[in-house]
Amino acid sequence: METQPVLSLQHLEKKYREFRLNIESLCLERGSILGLIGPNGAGKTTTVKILMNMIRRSGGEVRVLGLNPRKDEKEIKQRVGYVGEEPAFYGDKTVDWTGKYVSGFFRKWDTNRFQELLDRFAISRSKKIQELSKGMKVKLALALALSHDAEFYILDEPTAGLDPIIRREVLELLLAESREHERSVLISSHITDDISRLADRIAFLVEGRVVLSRLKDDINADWKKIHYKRGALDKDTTASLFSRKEHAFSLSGITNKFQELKQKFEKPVLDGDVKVENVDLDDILIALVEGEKSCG
Amino acid sequence: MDNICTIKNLRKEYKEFVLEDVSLDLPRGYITGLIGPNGAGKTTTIKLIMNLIQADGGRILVNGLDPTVEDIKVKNIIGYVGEEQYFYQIRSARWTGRFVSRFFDGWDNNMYLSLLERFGLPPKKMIRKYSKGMKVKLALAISLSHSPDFVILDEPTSGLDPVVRRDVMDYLKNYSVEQNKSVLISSHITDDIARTADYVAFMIRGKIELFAAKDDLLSNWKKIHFTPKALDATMAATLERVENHMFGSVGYTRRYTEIQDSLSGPKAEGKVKVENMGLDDILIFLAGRH
Amino acid sequence: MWALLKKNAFFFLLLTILFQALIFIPLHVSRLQSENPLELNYIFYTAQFIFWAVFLGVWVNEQTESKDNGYAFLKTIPARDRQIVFSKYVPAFLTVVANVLFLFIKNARLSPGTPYGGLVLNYLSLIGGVSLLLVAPAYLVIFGLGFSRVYKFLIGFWVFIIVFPILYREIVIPKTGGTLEEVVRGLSGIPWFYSALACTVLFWASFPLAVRLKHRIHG
Repeated sequence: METQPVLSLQHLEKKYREFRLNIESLCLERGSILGLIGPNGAGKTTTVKILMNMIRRSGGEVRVLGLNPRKDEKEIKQRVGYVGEEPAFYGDKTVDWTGKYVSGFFRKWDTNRFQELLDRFAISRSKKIQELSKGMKVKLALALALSHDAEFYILDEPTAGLDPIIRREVLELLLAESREHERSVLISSHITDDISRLADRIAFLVEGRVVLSRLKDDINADWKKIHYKRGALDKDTTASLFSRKEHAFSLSGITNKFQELKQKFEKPVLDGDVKVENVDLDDILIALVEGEKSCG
Repeated sequence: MDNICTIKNLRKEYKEFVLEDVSLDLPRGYITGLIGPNGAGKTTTIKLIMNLIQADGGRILVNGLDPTVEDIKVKNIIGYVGEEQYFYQIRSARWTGRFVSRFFDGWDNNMYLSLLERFGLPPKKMIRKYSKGMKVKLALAISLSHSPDFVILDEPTSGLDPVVRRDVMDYLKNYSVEQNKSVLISSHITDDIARTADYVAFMIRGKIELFAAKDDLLSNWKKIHFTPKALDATMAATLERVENHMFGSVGYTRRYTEIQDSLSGPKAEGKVKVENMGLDDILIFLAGRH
Repeated sequence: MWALLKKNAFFFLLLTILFQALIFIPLHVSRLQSENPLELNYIFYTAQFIFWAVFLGVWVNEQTESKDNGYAFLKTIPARDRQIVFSKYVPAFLTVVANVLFLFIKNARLSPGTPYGGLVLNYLSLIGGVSLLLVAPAYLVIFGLGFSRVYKFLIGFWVFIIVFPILYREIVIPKTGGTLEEVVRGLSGIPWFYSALACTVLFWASFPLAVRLKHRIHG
């Protein structure tokens, strides 16, 4: 049981008229955090909704905590803390009422924990849902998801619209959940900075396919931005670079196999003809999207 | 310095929130990022510049004009993208462009159509069928098509994906640099501000806590880890919020360039470690939380 | 200005055409087939369509404007409050004028030999004028308080105005012992020119006030 992955997808497929989600394979071990990055319309929300059985898949194998979402939806919802893109509550009810109402659906509701989270997120209990700002609603959804002792958190864009301070707080909370309590997290976000702070493993979803899924540290080791003077690198190397650009005095590009090419760079780096920089996940995503387009 | 917008002692009171005595000068030709927690007053300030709400005190000048007096002239100077995008839902982007073109001086319809194309917006589709991100991009296209001297964007990028965001931010950067235009952009995505802005204003609890050039901020604000007695008195005096832990202490400085040279010794000996601070770290520091 | 007018005129025009065509034509045809070329109660019924067209026009137009947050949008572009309010007043005014004229042409001009030509014009002009006098305060309330706050009240008010003629005919007239014809004749006593002039002046007199109210609430 313990060695079983919390999430495993094999040949997952979902067909729409103008879009096809097709994930060959995606896995998440217990206790780790998977960040999902991709452009709008790449299939992130569709994937998440399939896990929560809010959408039926067209084909493939899906296991969440070893369970099949189609058959064991209730059990999964007990053991998964979920925050969707647009949290929906009863607008004319208070925060307190909502907490009590939601608690009734869960076997392991932790009232103290919920109260503590409300304080921490500065959500006033007597306010009606419709009086809360968008950010407040997201925080309430998070507080609810974190209060029923879930083993696995599935969070779809939970930090959108939250300010940097609250976002950092949420990230630290999730990190602690993962490190100290061995909870697993699947989080999608457009704020790649948050993903790079939080995730152990990162999957890039582009046009319905996982085009890259690796440990964050491996990605950081292999993906680098290279600034180089004309003629400093051989043709094969420059041809393999993504997002090539010409600047006033140099050129730049992004490599995805720095470890493999390391030796080639050593001398020119010492000569000052090549400069190697870390890249943001944004840059990697843009490179992957461009690569996808040029492949057709 | 020549300013596109000056704000003096601006006040606005609400039941649960007060904008107190905000003064801020936005330099012409540069991009200024406005960062702050939710409810700090960023949107209120921007709405006051746009004359969408009325101030309880203070004064705003946009290009030397008072928005409360010269409403129409000021709106012709500004290209504005608000927190929420309002359009006539059953109309198309093309119709909307033609509609607003009647109000703006210097509307360039070719530019508008090329922006629609660049942002991937179908001109004939009903706006009701646009996604949220598309509406933001449409608002941007509209705000830029009369070549405004001053672009104001209130949280435009939340909800946009990283690829589109980069495209939008690159466009704004070029617009500002090539045509000497000024931009004020409020955003929770501090990365975007760090990449594009020239100046950054931090707004906390209805006040401007800090306004400075971005490069100065990033080179001056550092988190310093140090062992006991590694710092002399002058160096220690630049540190704030020092915390002592079991194996050493941590403090923050906002004047790193002053002590940089004298720190090089202890740094080489491994007694001091200097950690960079991002704009979000600075905001968290200023807001008084760790 | 022209853009605003064009946008706002849409629903008014649509409703005018709809009422004049869909509801009026069948009645018109049936009347032509009857012996008597024109009855005064017939004028009484058809004149109500002036109310319907202009009130529903105002209603639908404000409803869509409010749903789209149109006023908030217009605040962000260099549109003057005066232009915005003017572009609401003009379509309402023209709708009334057009409907009065259409009804007059249909009722009087197209029925040669009618003994009531002058009376019809007087009556229609009076009803049109009263419509304008009811639209003006409706606009004042909408611009002064915002549509979302007053729309329930306005629905009630308009339903009352629409059922009022029916109630009047069914309850008030039988009690007083008169006939509908006498009532219409009585109301037609005011020369069309006076009622049209007075109501037009009063309607446009409320315009500057509406601009000021609009400016106050959103400013």
